[in-house]
Amino acid sequence: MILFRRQNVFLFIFSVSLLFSCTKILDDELPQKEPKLVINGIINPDSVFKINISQSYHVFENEGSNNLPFIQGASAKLYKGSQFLFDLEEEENGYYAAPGFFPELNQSYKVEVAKSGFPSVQATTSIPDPVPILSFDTSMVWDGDEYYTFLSFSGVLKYKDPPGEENFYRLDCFQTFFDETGQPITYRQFIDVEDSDDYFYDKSEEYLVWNDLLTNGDEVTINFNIFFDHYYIDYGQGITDTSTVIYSISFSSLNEDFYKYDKSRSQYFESGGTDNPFSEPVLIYSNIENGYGVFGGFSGDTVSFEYSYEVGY
Amino acid sequence: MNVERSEMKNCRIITLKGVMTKLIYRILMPFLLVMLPLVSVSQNVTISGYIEDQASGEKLLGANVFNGKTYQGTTTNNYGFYSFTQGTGEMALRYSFVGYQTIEINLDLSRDTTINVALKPSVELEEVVVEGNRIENSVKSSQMSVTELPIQVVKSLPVFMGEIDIIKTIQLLPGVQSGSEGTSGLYVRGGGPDQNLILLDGVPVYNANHLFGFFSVFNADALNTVKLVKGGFPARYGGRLSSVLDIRMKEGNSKEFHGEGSVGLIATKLTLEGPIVKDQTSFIVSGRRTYIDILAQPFIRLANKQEGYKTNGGYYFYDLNAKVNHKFSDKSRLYLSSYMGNDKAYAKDEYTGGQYYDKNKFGLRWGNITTSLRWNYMFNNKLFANARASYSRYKFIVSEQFKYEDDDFKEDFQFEYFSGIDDVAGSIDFDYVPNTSHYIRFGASNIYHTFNPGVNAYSVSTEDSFNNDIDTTFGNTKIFAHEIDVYIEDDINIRTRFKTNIGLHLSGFKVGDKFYTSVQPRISARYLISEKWSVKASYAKMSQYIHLLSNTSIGLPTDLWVPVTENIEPMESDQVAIGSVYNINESYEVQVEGFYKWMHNLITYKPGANYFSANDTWQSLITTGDGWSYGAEFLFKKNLGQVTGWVGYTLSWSERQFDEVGEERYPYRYDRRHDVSVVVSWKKNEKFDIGAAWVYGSGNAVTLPFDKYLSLDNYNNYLGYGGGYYYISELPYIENVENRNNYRLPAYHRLDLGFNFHKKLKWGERTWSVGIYNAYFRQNAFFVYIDNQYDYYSSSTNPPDKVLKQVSLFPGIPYINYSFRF
Repeated sequence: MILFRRQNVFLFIFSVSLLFSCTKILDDELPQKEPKLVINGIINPDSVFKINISQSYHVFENEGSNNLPFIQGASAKLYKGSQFLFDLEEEENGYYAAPGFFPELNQSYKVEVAKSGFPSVQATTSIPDPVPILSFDTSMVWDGDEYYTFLSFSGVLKYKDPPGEENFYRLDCFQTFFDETGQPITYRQFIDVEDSDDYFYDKSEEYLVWNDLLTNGDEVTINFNIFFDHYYIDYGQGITDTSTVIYSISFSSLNEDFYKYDKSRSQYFESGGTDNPFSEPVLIYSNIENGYGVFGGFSGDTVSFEYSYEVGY
Repeated sequence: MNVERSEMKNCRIITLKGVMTKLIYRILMPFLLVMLPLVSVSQNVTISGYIEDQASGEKLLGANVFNGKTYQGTTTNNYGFYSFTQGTGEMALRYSFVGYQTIEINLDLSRDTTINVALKPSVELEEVVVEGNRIENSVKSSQMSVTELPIQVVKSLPVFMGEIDIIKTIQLLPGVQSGSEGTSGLYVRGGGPDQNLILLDGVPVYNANHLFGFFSVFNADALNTVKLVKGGFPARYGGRLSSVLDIRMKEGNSKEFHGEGSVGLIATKLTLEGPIVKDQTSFIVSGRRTYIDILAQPFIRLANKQEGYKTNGGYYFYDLNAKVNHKFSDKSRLYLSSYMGNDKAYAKDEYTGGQYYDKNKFGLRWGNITTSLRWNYMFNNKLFANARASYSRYKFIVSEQFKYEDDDFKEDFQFEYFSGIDDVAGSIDFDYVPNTSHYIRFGASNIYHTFNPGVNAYSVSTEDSFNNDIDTTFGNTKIFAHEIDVYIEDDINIRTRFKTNIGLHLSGFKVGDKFYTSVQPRISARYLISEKWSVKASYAKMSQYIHLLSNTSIGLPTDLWVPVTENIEPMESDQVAIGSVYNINESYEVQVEGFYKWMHNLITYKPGANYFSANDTWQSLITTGDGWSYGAEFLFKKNLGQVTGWVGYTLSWSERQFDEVGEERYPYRYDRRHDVSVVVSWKKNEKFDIGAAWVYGSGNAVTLPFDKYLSLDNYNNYLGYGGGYYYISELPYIENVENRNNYRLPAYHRLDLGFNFHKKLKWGERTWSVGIYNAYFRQNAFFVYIDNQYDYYSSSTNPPDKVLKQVSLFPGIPYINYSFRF
């Protein structure tokens, strides 16, 4: 509401200004930038090693349906420390993978990517030790009035931050429903934290990201809420009369590169990218030498709980 | 005592014994003990008094007093007072001020003397007697980086939409940049608009803008002097990093009743002044109001004429300056001055016919009030005091109301958002002149701030079966703070050629449980190479305890003043400057200065922060960092003759670095490599004069993406939950910005022309002014954006071309203005 009111002010001002304004196209366009290779790859010990390789375009360039950014025929080499491991195998949509290879904790992995017409790029990363969840409790919270009722789950997650080192964390929540045939359908669910804890987290509407600057070596408790999305179940997927939802809370330990990229990326998209004149521009972090993107690592711990309910049509 | 010149009639000479009360000795004793070695008591006499305009009785600030026998001099302070100690014996005192006839008094003094002088305005510029001492201030002063603008100069230049605006004239000076097109923001030596201390009769004005920044709040008809200090700050100034704009109102004519006014395209104004008791009590009242809302009313009603409907809307601003001063004696004067100004934009529609009643109202109001009660007291020929109690308030309100009523249902919704700042302050300042070698100023002040950084009031009342009434306020809580300042400075003549101003400013700021303190040394020095040529250097450390959270660059009323907190420390700056002033002859003067300024704990919005975010507290949206600004300024001035004006050039760099933004420095938005201004005023005769101003500036720095690339694939994939698109329209592209302010807008330039036709009438004088802002219709960039160029073939599979578009304001705005004086 406040957002709306204060934007009214600007609308008024700009409407006044426009009485005296005129618009023209600038002839001297933005500087030309040579296209660069883009690596997007996040590795963890539970998944096969895989990265995505694409290219950048000038901001005025339209990709079009025949101009997908994914790079085909690139040379992508994987190293563990200085030891060459594999040539990554090309898959669909710009993915390059090392089938059957699962990366290990605390090892330095380097990828080198070359493709004619682009400067070669390389990046190095590692996977930090997982930080275990010490405990997780949840309770149901009913709220509302005589006409409407809302259900949410209150979660309390505890972990012990390893002392003497920088740690970076992320908390995600997914909810899985089952359709009439028993097939699971998974969606991301928003996590809501107390306003007073806002300062603690780097902003993201979808998930929480934070570091241990204020809690190094401490036992930390995260209090959050997850809303039970009843409307979605009723009308979205044709759920059976009695159903179950599984909530999975994923608690990840990120390496610094992934954290910095993730933080800037979520800031970018939540602020409306470069299209919103009323927000500050975001510079996206990258650890790709001569290119763009991110090569990062994480390890995680997950807890789940179920809730069975009757569907009220 | 022997007065030789015929100008004897222009001055009154009063001899008084210098007596210092015991009370003052007690107050000053600790200080005097320190300063005792400075005080010379033998074989000296002190001449002191006020210098004023003979016709109006207005005090002349910065007027010169010069002894032709010893080649020593001084200037009047901000209250028109001077004190000047010389050896006993003969002296040739010359009193001068730009635009006034110089007078010379030959005296043979053996004891302290008070001389109040009334200077006569020069009728013709050519008749001004110039004997070298006119340039006392700029060449011989120990202070540097100071510009004083006579109001006459401001009035002679072309104006925007017919409204004389001192801020826009100041923007034409080297080292000062203007921000966006047409606005009244000041960016001094790479500093931000919140780093300027704007004082009206010594009271801070927090929002100096009318009409969203296109006009300043200062009505030139009510003003006496305008002084801008950009660096080398004497210790008496504090609280802001980059500049002090010291604006003094007129006191009101103490001899005769006079008035002046004008009718322009957007506003009309009237100023009345005169004696309440001749030579003892005088007043000035000046008001201004825009009237486009009044003129537009019939057309708005006509355009929305429908049975049962009433529609109304508009915008106006007004301001009112008033001042009364009373002279108890030659020693004691009291001043009460006040400013009040408001802007209001509103829209209202109402339906009263049929089966129901419906009303919508939207309003936007903001404005300042400042009030100052000042008491000047001259204890003796060497000690002058000014005590002040003041109040300053800035308030901004957005309101909306919706009302609905029918037979079964009633609803009344009201929303109000308000923010602002209130200051209650007290201060005392002393000028103490023990001898010709020292001019000591010292004083203290306390400001009690009340910050109101955004509160929402929301109420809904209904009469239905649910009866869900709400009446609540939410938002940021008020913050209370004390700002305390103490200073002492001494203007020291070490040798004939060498003069220095050494000072110390101590400040403290208490907010909550936190008490910040700052020790700010100040020094400036001047070496006189010849009577016409001096070199200068200065260092100043400044602290600032309040920040302006600015939504955009154009000084909108939604900007919030907020204090330092436990997490956000005070801004600080260190500035060094070197320079030289050369007076070619009586008319021409050249000034060159170089500066380097370091700024710490500056604030900016965090990456991605949304200015309008309702869910975040202001502290969570900002981050702190450093700034650097350096460059050189060149000013060539012609002060006398039919043609006057100046050429200014600034070469400068201004950079910022915030850890949260990136490790690299980036250019400040108003980093302007080259800035040129040419200002000319040609007074052909008493009936006609022309003003012209041409400005050129390198384009502002803005942030634009140059290329784009794919974001990290949906994170779900890596956690093992789904993923996999790809519809082209859903590819998550990042438009890449490698650094803030990475793109330069095209260079800015424009020419303004103004023609003034004066005519003397029986009752006074009238002037027709015509002119044009942006005479050659240059389309300067107000902002740029990337836009889609849709055509017939555009579709989701054939996206439109993208282009860079520029929006320009004011491509040539003519004006006409009628003004009068009696």
